[in-house]
Amino acid sequence: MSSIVIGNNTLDRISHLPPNIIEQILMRLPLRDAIRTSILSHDWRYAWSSIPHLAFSWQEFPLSICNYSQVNFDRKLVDIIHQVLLLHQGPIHRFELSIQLRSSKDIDGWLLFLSRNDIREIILHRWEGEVYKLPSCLLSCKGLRSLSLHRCMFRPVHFQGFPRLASLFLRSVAISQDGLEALITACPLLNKLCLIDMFDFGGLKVCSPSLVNLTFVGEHIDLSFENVPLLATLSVSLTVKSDKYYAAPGVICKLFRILYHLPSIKKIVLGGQAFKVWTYGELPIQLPCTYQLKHFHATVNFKDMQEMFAIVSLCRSCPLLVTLELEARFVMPANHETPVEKFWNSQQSFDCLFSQLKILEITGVSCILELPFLKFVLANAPVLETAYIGFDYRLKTELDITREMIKFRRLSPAAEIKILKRKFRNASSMWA
Amino acid sequence: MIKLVSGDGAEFEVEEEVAFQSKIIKDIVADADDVIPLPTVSSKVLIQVIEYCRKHAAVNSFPLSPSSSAAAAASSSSSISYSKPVSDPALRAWDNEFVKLNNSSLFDIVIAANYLDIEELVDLVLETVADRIKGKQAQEIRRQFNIENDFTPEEEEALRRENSWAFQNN
Repeated sequence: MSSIVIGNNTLDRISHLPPNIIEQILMRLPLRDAIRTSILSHDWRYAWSSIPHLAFSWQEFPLSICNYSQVNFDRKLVDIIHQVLLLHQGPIHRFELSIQLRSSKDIDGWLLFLSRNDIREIILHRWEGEVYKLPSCLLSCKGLRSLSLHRCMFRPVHFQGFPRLASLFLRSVAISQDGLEALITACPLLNKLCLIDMFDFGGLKVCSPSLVNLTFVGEHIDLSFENVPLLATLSVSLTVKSDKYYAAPGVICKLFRILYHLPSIKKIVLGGQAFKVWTYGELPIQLPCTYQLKHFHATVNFKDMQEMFAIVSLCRSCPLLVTLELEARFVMPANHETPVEKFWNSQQSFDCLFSQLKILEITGVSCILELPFLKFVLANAPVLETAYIGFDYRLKTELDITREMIKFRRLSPAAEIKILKRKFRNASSMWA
Repeated sequence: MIKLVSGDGAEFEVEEEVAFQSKIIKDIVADADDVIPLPTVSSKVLIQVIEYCRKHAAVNSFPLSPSSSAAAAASSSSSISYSKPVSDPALRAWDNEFVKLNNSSLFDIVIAANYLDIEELVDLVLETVADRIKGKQAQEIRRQFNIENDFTPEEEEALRRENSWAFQNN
């Protein structure tokens, strides 16, 4: 290696960087900028053409480049993508197509091309129009590590599985329940699964010995688990149209039935109505302990007795919980003591109920209703470090509530109460 | 303590957790002694790399420091992740200051970081370099990085035509 004069600012250093570093710089540029480097000098002529990642995204190719004419846009983008694939050389490990393109036939062709070029990661997102029917060649991409689909139709027939797939993201994908269950089972290394607004199916039994992280957002379905020994993070947000899915009387509520099947669960996030639906029914009397659960987050109704009972049951069955985050669903302030307040105020301390709790977060606080719970936790959590309180944006003044709050007795000498900055609630940010 | 020796013979004693920001050093120490010669890294660059590692080792070892977790909690109501160091706004601000250097110094650092396998530092520097290229015209990029244009005007024109869409302004 020749020695380099340090501090000399007239040398062309960038063209003589190791090829892998130049490649990494080009991979961090939008495709347009990467291709534009081809005219810098002979050294750069073909540098972009071997980058293994190609992304055609709506940020770089908005419909506005063709004056919002979908027909012109389709034609122009098809030309551009053909041209890029023609000039590209070497393997393409990652391919992203997140633009509103209607020409299914061209996409079929590109996927076939990619399936023969060592493709490892495919992102195929569209927002409107007909769902895109995935061609069968996709199923033969044995090297896929990551697959992300939005508004596609998937028919895994004669499917041998994706032996290396680690991450699967499906949003508004048309696939039958059997098809999806078979797909999940046929990915022996699947680590992360995200299902958002899937088209109607009544239930899903997740069976995956390798799965670590599962996110489910959408209409309530009968979600169940079998053989998920490694599942550590579960995020579920449900919307409910009717009560028809609620548990039958005498049946232990869903949350506790599920916990029993999740031997490695560390973190649970329940958004939308998931906590309400999953705690509907009988609460277990003899609790199975879940010692792994460290982090619990849920949107709850502090006015609902059943949900409050469920919180107590949960804290009892998860004695090692470190972080508890509750987001209050907005309820109209009441001007008299409600049964819930009576409930919390009459609770005596439980043994070890919050023995490991370090962080409590209550957000969306809009009335005094959330306070008895805070008071109860502060009085019973011996090692609590911080209680974060976030007020609902509709609240006119925080002063009365804050004044009440700071009077509460704290069992943990180190416990601090911190007020979070107010912000508009954005439910979708949770799943971004 | 681990002793690092730069190419120009300067010695630097650093704590293990600082040196172990480099995966290579971590591997070397596992089966050798504690004096590590780094012949291709100059002392000037090594000082900068150690400064970076020291800062990041300190932050990474306290992922739940009150200020960082409060900031993370404030920035996202769901507070999914407290521990990812780059999500710490204070550290990000520090990083942004750290890379306010001329191109030549950045390349020295990235070559060293690449050699020492300090992923986050490589990432930080290359993001910075990419930002200095993004959206610029060829002439500007050439001037900024001292790249000599060895194309004839005809050759350059032909190349622009080959990917005309990339050179249209919109």
